[in-house]
Order: sequence, then structure tokens, then C-alpha cells
Amino acid sequence: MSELLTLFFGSMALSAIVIVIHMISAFHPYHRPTPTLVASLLILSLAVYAMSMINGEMSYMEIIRKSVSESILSLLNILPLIYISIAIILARVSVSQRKSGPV
Amino acid sequence: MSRMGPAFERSKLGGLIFLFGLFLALFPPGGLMGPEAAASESLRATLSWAIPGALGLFIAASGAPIYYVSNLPRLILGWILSLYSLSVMIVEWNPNTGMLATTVSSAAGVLVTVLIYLYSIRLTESMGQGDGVTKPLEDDEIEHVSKILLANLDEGGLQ
Repeated sequence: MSELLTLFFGSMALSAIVIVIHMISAFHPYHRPTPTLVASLLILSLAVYAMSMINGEMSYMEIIRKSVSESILSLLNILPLIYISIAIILARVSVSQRKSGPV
Repeated sequence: MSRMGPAFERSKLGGLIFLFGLFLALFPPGGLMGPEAAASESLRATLSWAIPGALGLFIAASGAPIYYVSNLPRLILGWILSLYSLSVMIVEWNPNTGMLATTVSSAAGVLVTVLIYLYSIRLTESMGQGDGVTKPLEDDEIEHVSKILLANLDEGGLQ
């Protein structure tokens, strides 16, 4: 159970880090990033705190590195399913033909 | 969403960060922990089919029918790459029942974060009203806009 919780909070931390990087990458003068940035940093902090409760013997940095790596590993397992889904949609689009008959 | 508007001055860091991440994925630094090394190895194995797969799907999509007219060479090239990628993926992918719980747990974590993020975007949009009511045009601005409109109407034969 602790492994699943670590993965859950590790994925939260990973997503929060990705969102922060995305906001830095896509920043422009019309951007109002404060609420989204605060929300992401809050999620990251809470996830790290929750993981430190589960893995008490590890430092914060070790917890982040371990849990985020394990989250990446388990999320990569879904990637083939996503790829197959997109391929099926694209296959349907590729063979679409004009419908005959009156409009 | 929270970053709408004519953003001609958008940050150009995205491409650089993507290339930096790709470089680290392909050439990982030393001193990785056990799970990090496993994730790095798995990422490289995934990229071996995901890169040709993404490229293939992109080319196939660009050759797919638009108003029932397709670009056949692009479509064929795209699907050759995609099918190659699928074959590599099937060889390398080893799903088992043990990974189901861990994958669901990770996906749930991502989902919760994305939902909170979307809610924070909604909150951002509901805050403030931007620049308020736009001021009416000045006399010289009205004259300038009228000239442009009349010139265009004349060109279109709508006198």
C-alpha cells in the first residue's frame, strides 16, 4: 500500500514540476501565472510532505528523486495504449471517404 | 485559458528545454539512483519506438484526407513508419497484472494534479476584468478607420 501511495504522490509531484516548467517555457506578457504557479507549488509541497510521512528515513531530495523516477516508470506503461488509440483514430481518418447519396 | 491573447512575445525556452530533456534522456548523467537508472533505461527503450511513431503519425496525419483529398505518398510513408514503430513497441512491451495497480495509482496522481491545475486556471479567468471598458475612438481615429473601410469597400466594388 505504501508503494502505491508513493507512486500516487510521486505522480502529483512530477505533474506539478511539469506544469511549472511548462509555464516558464510558455510565458508571455499577457500571462497571469500567479494562481496556477501557487497551486502547482502547493501540490508539489504537499506531495513531498505526504511522501516524507510514508518514507520517514529518506531525505526530501531522495524522496523526490525516487518517487518521481518510479512514477515515470509506471506512466511509461500507459504510453503504448495511448499510441495505439491515436493510431486507430488516425487509421479511421486515413480511410474516410465521401458518403454517396443525396446531401 | 490563463494565457490567452496575441502573445507575439511568448517565451522561446520551450524548444531549448525539450532538447535539453531529450539530450539527458539519451545521454543520462552518472550517479543515478536505482529507480532513476531504471526509469532512464525504460525511457530510452520507449524513445526507440516513440520517436519514429510520433514522426509517422505526424506524417500520416499531414497526408490524411482534407475535404476527401489525400496526399498518398505522405500517407503511405507515415503509415510505414507507424507500423514499424508498432512492431518495435509490441516486441518491447511486456504488460503484466502487477503493473496495473501501479499504473492506475500513478495515473490517478496525474489526474488529480491536472484537475487542480484546470480549476486554478478557471479561478484565474474569473479574477479581474482585464482593462475594463474600452474607451470610444477619438475623432482622428474615427477618420482613419473610416478611410480604411471606405478604401476597402471601393476596391471590392461595393460603392
